[in-house]
Amino acid sequence: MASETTDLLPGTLDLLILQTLSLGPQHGLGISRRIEQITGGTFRVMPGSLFPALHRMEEQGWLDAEWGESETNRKAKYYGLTKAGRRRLGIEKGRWDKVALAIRSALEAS
Amino acid sequence: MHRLRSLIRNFFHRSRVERDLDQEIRTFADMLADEKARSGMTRQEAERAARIELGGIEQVKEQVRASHSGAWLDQLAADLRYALRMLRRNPGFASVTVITLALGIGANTALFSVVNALLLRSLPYKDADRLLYVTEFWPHEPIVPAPTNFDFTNWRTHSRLVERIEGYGGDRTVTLSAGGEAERIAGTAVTAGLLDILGVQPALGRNFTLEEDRPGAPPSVMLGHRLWQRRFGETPEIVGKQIEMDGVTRTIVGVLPASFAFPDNNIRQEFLFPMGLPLEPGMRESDFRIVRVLARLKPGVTLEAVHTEFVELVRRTASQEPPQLVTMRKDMEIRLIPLRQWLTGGVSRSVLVLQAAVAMVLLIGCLNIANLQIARAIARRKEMALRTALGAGRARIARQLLTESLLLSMLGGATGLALGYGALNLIRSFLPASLHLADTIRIDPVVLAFTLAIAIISGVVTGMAPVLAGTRTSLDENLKEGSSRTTESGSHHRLHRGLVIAEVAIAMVLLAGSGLLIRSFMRMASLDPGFDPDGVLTLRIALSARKYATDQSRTSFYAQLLERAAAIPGVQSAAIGAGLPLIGTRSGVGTWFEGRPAPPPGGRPTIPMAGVSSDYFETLRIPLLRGRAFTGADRESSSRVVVINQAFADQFFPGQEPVGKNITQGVRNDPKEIVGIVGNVRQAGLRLATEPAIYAPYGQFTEPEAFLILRSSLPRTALSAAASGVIRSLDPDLPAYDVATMQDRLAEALSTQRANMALMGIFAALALLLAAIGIFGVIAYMVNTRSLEIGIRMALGAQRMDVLKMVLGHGMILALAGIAIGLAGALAVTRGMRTLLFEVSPSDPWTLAASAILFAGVAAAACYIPARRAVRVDPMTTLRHD
Repeated sequence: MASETTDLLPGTLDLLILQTLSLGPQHGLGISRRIEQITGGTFRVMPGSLFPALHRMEEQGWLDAEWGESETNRKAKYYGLTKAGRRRLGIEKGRWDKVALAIRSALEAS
Repeated sequence: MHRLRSLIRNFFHRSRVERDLDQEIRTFADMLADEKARSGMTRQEAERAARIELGGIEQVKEQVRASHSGAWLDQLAADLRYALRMLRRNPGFASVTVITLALGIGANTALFSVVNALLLRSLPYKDADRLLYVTEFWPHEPIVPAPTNFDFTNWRTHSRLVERIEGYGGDRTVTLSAGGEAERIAGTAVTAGLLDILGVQPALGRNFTLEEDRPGAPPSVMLGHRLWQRRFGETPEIVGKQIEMDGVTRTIVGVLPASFAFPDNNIRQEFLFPMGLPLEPGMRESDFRIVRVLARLKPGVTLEAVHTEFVELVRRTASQEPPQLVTMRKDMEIRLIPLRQWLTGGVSRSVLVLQAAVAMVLLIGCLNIANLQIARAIARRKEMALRTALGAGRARIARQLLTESLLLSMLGGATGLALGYGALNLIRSFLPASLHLADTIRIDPVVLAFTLAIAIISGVVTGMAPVLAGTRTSLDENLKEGSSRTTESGSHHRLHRGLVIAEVAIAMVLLAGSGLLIRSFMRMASLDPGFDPDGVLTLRIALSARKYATDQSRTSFYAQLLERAAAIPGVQSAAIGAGLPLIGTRSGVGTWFEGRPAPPPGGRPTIPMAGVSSDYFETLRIPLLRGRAFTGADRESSSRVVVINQAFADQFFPGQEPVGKNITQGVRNDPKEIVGIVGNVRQAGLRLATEPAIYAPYGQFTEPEAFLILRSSLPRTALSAAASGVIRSLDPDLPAYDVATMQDRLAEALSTQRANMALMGIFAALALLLAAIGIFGVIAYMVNTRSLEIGIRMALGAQRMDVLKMVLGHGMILALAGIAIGLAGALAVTRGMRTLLFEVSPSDPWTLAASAILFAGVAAAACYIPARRAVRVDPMTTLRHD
């Protein structure tokens, strides 16, 4: 693993997955690569964290899943956002903004 | 909604869910490989790199499964299935564990239900935590303590810190003829508010009124439930009727509920009648009765505050006190005791000691099982390594182990609950009969919760032992390791040995404790009671005050009774006595000595005194030491004589000849000549030291109650029927009661000590057995794992004797270390048993040494069996094995 990759902060994996899927349905490897891409390689999601999170969020009704053909003609499970998932994304974003703001002002205060 | 649907899907369409999951992860791996192949790797390299990045398909699948709804349920079911399979495959381990836990948990459940009933659960009275038992006593006089009526009425009238203060006591046995054959029944005098302070409502009719509880009020009575059932056919119309008791006509005001019992069971409640104390403090001689007094504190008031108030009230009225009381007041102390402490004070110590003992038994059992678990965990390392390789995390494996041990402990707990329930009656029979709280001992929700809790704790502790012992599952090492018999690294061994030493030490403490109780019992049982209990039957009679109003009528009744009883064929001798060894004497008389300076007022010692017939000493075989016993010539009209016991002579005539001296008694100081000295008998139970006692001819000291004492070789039932017949032939209204042989009474006096010894002995034996199993297990395990080493040693020329010595030595070092620690522990904790012991010091060296030697012997036997197996090792077989 590259030395500049960082472990995910707790709670941020859900946010990143939801954000990724807001652009359109995607399969597991796609989600993983997209997160790597949009965070500039800072975060790398291992399958052992990704799949449990996907299944959990599907059970919570934020994601739905269906089988489809991948670009390499493989039968893959595609995840997409549900209505509840979109609402959730809003909530998670708001929460993240609050945390980020709080931490930033804490760092600047010192 | 989603969750529920998922749960249902996960549960009922498991195979589809599994198929989908497998497909999903495999696709992921394939796509990963595609990606790598595109970047220039060969297909084979790409697939390998993908596998590495993925970290194992099965592991990922397991992680996903753990995130599914209801995963814990799934895993639990799988764990349970697996645990059951493991136990079926290993029935020896399973049954040893379940039996050990069942015994430990059963004993704890039974004892805890006693602790719960006596010390934890609220007493069956209203606001029982605010009830106090109040008494006055003289520290130097061990006579039954009781407040004077004068003080009682004083407090009742003037105390501001207690809500109410009520009394009962003054037992009275009366002859009841109504509703059947004449019968002696015991009743109790109560103040009108007693039922209220206890929160008891009559089952029928009403409580006494204050008017009925005044001196000179028309006599009334409340019937006990049993009496009402037995003699009055449970008819409700009985209320308001009148019955005659001992010649007094009483109006029945009500019937007590069946559940009613006085806090102390010594007082029987066939009926209650009002005490009739004056409402204002004042004292006539007839008012001086013994009462038990209960007070209810006002909320928020402390016991100390009430004590101060009561002392102050007594001080304030000192000038109005009648002269009899002034002389008694010297040194009198007031004591207030919370009700529970008063009721259970006698047994709470033994119950707690026994509870501690069974807790230790369970602890030893758990240590044993923990040792077995560690040994199993080591044997199962390969299995665990395989499970790790197949995707199980450390936490998952720990949970599997825990499920196994919890399953065992739950089985043990359930069996233990059944055992404990079965043991309740046994335990109840060991408690003193006077403790009526013993009737409330049962398995209630609190006890159930306790049992469940100790079962869970036992399961967790024993199940976690291998985890705590650090039997880490390092994957490749364990998979590669071929043999389970290599010379093990030291750490498990150290832990094994530590656990065995601990359990030996704990068992040693128990063994020492039970040894002390056994010795106490032997001391007590071998006491010379001072009389010969064999072949003596005793019956109690009480003459009615109306029919036998004068001393003369009583004396002549006793004389006729003696004559007819002695004539029963087969009776060797017959006697009458107002007192009986072990039971004591009803009367105590202030006594002084002719020719000695008069003592200060109230300074004459009160000596127990009993009127007896001339054959009393011979019938009980109390030895006459000096002078003479009574004869038929010592009558009412002849000169006054007494016989004293040895203790009297030692205390009041040290170094002098008492025979021929005079004692003086009563207000007129009549002189009475000491004509003889007899041996001491244990007067009031076995525990109390022998005190001075005086005997007088019954014609000169006539009491309305007496024992008829018969020495005979006739069978008990025949003798007691014949004696009752004799009594009835003289007075058909006079029943004989409290019929018992002196052997019965001796056994009764020993019963508490016997009970403590028996229970503690059972628990100590259990502890010893478990500790022996523990030693055996560890040595057997050692022989097993070191058979290779032993084989090599023997191949190199070691003799069987050397191997035997080595193995025995290993075991005995553990046992002796445990015994030494246990002895030190015993010295520290047996002090808490002091009140349970009898004439044995808590650190009695002989008892401790004997227990230690016994333990060492058992330990040697436990080591010998595996040691013998070790020397049978054939070096060739062992060496060829691998």
